[in-house]
Amino acid sequence: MRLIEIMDGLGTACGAISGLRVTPYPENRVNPPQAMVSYPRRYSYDESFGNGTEDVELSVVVFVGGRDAGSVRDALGVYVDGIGGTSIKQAIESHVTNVWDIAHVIDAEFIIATVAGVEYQSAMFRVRVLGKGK
Amino acid sequence: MGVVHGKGVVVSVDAKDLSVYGTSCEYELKADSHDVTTFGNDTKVFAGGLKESSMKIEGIYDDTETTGPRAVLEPLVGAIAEMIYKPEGASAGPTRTFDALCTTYTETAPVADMIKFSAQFQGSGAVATTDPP
Repeated sequence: MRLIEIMDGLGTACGAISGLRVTPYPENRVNPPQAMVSYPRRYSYDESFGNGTEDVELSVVVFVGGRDAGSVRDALGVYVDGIGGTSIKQAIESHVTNVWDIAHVIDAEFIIATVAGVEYQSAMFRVRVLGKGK
Repeated sequence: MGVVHGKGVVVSVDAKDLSVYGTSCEYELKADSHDVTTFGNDTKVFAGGLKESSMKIEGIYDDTETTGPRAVLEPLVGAIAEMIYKPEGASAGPTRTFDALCTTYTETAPVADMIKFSAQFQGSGAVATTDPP
């Protein structure tokens, strides 16, 4: 696998969700609703003999905004659903690509993220990607 | 010469290289021992007997047709195939070649992880070991 292709691929997968802006890399500005693909927390080689398998864990962070707490919750909730046209999990796991063998959205964690001095309610999706090392 | 990392192991079954799917190999060569202790000895005396080999391969399940572990190993259960094992990699160390009877093929599927496979082989006949040139 190649890191650039993995991050681009996750961006393309999330881009299938209507109305969601996507950047396949971290950047220091947010225009919600926006998904941002982060660098891997861990990039593991040699998961099988001859570097036959690589195992990468990285995050996709979705930032939302809203007029009040209720609208923020409603805006974020649709991306966290396990299924449906706005589901991050469904978008990533159903994305067909030659970049990886399988991508699994493990869980979502809810955080207040500060970007360029502005606080956003966000959901951080942990994604595990496995593919061939050669 | 010194310690050797396991990441370069090469294992081939029935002329199919399964290395890229493998995560663990366990090769064993052992021999029967026969007690030949006779009167007058204060400690037991043993003589070596017939040798026996076995191999266990574990790895990440893959559905690749023809060459993936499922396609290669499952049909071999109950059959003898040629096993080639190179613990130090393709271009270094010994090559062990022997016929092996596949006695078990197992798939393990946890809900939160990749499906894993394992296969156990009983050696049939001698193990031929060749050193690198």
